[in-house]
Amino acid sequence: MEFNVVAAGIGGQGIVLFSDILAKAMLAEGQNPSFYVHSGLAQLGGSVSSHIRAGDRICPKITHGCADVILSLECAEILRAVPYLKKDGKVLISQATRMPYHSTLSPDRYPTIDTITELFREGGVEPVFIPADTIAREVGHIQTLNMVMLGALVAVSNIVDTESAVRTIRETIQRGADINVEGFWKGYEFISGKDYN
Amino acid sequence: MKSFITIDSPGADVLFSGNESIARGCVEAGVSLVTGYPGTPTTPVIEILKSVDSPIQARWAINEKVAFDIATGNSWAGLRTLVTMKMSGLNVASDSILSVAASGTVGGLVIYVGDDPNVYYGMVEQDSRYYALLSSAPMLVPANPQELLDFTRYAFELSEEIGGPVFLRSTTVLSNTYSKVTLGEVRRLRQKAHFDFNIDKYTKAGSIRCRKQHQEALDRVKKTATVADHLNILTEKGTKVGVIASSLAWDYLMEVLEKHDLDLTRLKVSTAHPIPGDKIRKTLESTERVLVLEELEPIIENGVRVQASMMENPPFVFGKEDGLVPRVGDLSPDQVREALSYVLGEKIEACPGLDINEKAESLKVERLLTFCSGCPHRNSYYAMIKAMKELGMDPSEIVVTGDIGCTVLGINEPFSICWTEVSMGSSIGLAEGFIEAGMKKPVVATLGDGTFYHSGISPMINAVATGQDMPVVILDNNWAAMTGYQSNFGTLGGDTVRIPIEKISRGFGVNSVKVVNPYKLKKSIRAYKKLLTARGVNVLILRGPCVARQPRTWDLAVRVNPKKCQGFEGCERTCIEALACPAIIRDGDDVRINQEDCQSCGLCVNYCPSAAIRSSPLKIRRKRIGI
Ligand code: SF4
Ligand code: SF4
Repeated sequence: MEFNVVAAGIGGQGIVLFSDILAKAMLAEGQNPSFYVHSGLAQLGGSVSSHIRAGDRICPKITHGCADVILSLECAEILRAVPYLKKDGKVLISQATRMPYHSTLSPDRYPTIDTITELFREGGVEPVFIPADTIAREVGHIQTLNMVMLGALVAVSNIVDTESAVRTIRETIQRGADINVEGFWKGYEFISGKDYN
Repeated sequence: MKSFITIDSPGADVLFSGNESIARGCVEAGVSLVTGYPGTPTTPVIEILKSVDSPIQARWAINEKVAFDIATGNSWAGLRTLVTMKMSGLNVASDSILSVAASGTVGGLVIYVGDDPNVYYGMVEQDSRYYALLSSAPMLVPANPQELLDFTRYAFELSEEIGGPVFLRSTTVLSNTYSKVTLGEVRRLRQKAHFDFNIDKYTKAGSIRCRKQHQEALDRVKKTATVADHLNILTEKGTKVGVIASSLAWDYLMEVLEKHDLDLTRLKVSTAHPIPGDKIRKTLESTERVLVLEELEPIIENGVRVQASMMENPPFVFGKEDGLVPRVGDLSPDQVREALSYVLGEKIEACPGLDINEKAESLKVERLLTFCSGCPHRNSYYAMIKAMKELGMDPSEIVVTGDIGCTVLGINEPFSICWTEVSMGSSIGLAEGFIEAGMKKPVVATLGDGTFYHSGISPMINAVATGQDMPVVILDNNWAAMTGYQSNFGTLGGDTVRIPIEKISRGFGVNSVKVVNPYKLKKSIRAYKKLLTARGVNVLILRGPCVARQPRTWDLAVRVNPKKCQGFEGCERTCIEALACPAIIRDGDDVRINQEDCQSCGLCVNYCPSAAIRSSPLKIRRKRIGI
């Protein structure tokens, strides 16, 4: 079986940790995972994305049109992942926004949720928006946003068991594991409670 | 917790990045010393080895040339050594590398170099495989993390078998790829330092010696062609079309072949130098059309073309020379599919995606790099511009040479103050050139602490010796921040003896040296004004630690008073436009400060012409990042 996810976000949001935990959970289940992190110069604020795969081959980059799920930790960053999405693929978007300098000066250069929804509908896909930043803050820290999105991904894809995901979170994150696990469940419930599948 | 890098459990499957695989490869090969200079994507190897409990000594050197010289000494004493650097660093070390490649080595000496096809991180898009040809030293080019581990271990054996250094080349994408890796056995070598007096080998005195060494280096490459040929794998399928691919291009090829059920004759090239002549010949002899796939320059391709030129009825060779495969940027499965379609003469259909790619592209948000919120460099450049204005200078007319690292973000808006970026430490030499050319004064050189140690010292001596009037601004943030906060010789709390920049520059007689805290705006401006008008070489060090590594005090709340703030409607130049601090956010026409991001640096408080931004002590300490 082949399964491909493209996760996008910005530096500092924890895309590497997101990918690492997902891949380790897949490995623990006997799958053959790989991922490749594409990041630019800035540790903070620049675009970062990750191609996460399970399958027999090791090929870092996902082919256009072959991702089962694309997701973003920052709202507008989903746009970078669009070419990878399969025809019947799924789209998960965190509502957290981070306007770069230029968009701040002319805000119409930053797409709204409506624009993004409209775009995906044109392609015949209904994107799912998740208030991941709000959930993360409720859980206790904005840095758990990546785990909220991981929970959402697991809920739409069943790529790993919730059990192995939670175990891997606990094994990987030493400090603050509890709130991260809680974030994961909140993200999971957000999707499963709404029957988006 | 026991680290998978050092654990001795052969056969275990773990998830490793390319860099972790190399670190593990060193442990399995019984390496004694790993040294180098930070440079993405190679940096993590030394950082990983520093963090684990192993007999390997891992440490940074002042620059790549020094690192390579240290590595050579260690190898000549009979010990296994790895030296790491990015492609630009290879240029710095190349003087010694060419010399040592001619002399040969004793203990296995492996040079791990990371290229950056597509330039994910800035700098020249350079193909380091040319250095293997230039120095007549073999180069292995792995294609996945497992091979990075296996080839690292093997590279030491190869180096000792042929008696010369071996290059191990990775790329940004490969080093940042994580996948399942099966561990091998950990070796512990008990090596004792020993060195034989042998000037024929270890010196370059006399042309007879040098010519002999040249021949010996060529012989080592020739021997590699035999002993390392098992790394190159030919799969013959009797098809008219064949493909020769190397490193990541091989992964992309296999992705396309398997996805589309194509089973073509194919050759995987894992030795970029020497390329496998016999297997290439075999591929050419059994096919009519051959596609060569590799990233950047047509190095293997040209080797293939040479082989073809020696045949009577050679097949058509496709690749970069005919423009089918790009030389600029990196490759992807989609590009490989298209090139293969062309060579096959039939379309391989792309996966059906959505029909919205162009629109998505047009909506994409560009993220120009700016300084982090609270970054000391923002304050330093702000003060520089302010000082110029107060002196009646037009900042847009003053040439400021920039350097490598975070400091060069001064090129971007809103500061747009740095004009150039060439190479490590080059800002000072460039400034001297501008001054000599008769540019309007002052010409200001700016560089970071890391670049100063790496290559900024000799040009500064040069400027003092030639009697220049040059303001030199050193933005000292205590770490090599852009590569992930490695310490250097000026780092407070670093792991070496500290040799402060001010001591060094005073030592060779610059006119004045001043150290200022960039968060003290008034003091900084005063210091700049003195600097910009002084004679001789004067050094201003703005010292404030990188906030991404060491967040500032969290006891102050900086807030905008909405009653006083003029907002985007009324403010002549808002703080957002003037400072581009990511913590200041726009909310319609209003301006707010994101308390999760603000580092309480106080710059916006100082800036606001309406005194609308205030900082006040927090009642409760802000919650530190709890994870
Ligand atoms: S500079 Fe002052 S007045 Fe202008 S937008 Fe910023 S806070 Fe408001
Ligand atoms: S004090 Fe102002 S300039 Fe400094 S980090 Fe906070 S918002 Fe940015």
